Amino acid sequence: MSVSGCSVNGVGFSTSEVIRANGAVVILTRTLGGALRTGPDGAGLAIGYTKTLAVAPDSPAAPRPGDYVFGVSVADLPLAAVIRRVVGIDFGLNREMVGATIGFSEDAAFARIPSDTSMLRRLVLSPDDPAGIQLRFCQEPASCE
Amino acid sequence: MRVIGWSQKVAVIAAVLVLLSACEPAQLYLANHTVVGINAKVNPEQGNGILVIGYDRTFATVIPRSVEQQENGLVTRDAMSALVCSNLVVDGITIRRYTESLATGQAATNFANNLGAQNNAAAAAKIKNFFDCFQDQGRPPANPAGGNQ
Repeated sequence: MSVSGCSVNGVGFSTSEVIRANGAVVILTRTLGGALRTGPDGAGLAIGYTKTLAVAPDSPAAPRPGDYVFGVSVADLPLAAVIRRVVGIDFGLNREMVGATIGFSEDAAFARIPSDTSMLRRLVLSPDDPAGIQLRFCQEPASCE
Repeated sequence: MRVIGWSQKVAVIAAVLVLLSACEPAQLYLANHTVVGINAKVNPEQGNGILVIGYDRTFATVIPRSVEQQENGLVTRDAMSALVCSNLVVDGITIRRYTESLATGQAATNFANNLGAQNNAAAAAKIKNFFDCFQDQGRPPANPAGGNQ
C-alpha cells in the first residue's frame, strides 16, 4: 500500500520491499505523490506514481530483507542497476537528462561504471521476478558461470 | 533587491545547459528509456536534445572516449576498453528481461586477447561461454569495444 505524500530518495511516504536474490539485494520502492531524487546520476522530481527497482550487490551494508513502511534509502548503496517507472510528471536535472516527461516513462540504468575500472560482471535482470535476479562480480569467466 | 528580467533568466539557463553539455562522459553507461506521452529533454553527456510526443524507446551505450592510462611511464589517453554482450527483452512498453555479460578496463583487453588466442582454446571457450554473443561467431573483434546484442 502506498500513501500519497512526498519522499526523498525513497524515504518518506513510500513503501519498500527488500528481497534477497542471487548475489544481489533488490529494493522495490513505490511512492504515490512527490518523489524527490537527489543523487547526481538521477536527480529529479516525479509527481504521480513511482515504482523503482534497485539492484545492489549483496553485502553487509545492504538493507535486510523485509517490508519497510516508510521506504528504504538507496542513496549510499553501490547500485548495479536501477529501473524506475513513473506515471505522471517526471522532471530530471542530472548529467543524463535535463527535461521533463508527462505520461508514462521507464528509465533503466543497467550499468554505470567509472572509466578507470577493470572488472567483470554478469547480470540477469527480470523486473517481474525480483527473487530470480542474478548478479556476479568476478575476476575470471569461470567463477562467473 | 534586484529582479532580473526573463531574458536574463533564459541566458542563465542556457549558460548552465551549455556548461552541462560540455561535460565529457566519465562512466560506461548502458541505459534504456521509454516514454508514452510527452518528453522534452537534453542529454548533457551526449550533447543532444529531443522532443517526443507519443511513444519512443531508446537503448543506448555510452563509452568514455578519453581515459587516462599509464604506458611505459607515460600518461596517455584512449577510449575506455569494454567488452559487453547484452540482451533486452521488452513486452509491450515495459522491460521483461535483461541479461548482460560485461568486462571493462584491463579485464576487457585480456579477455579480448584470449578470445583470439589460437594456443589456448580452453580459455577461449570459457570466455565464449561467458560472453554468449561470441558463441556463434568465428572471429572475435580485433579491439574490445562496447556492443549490444
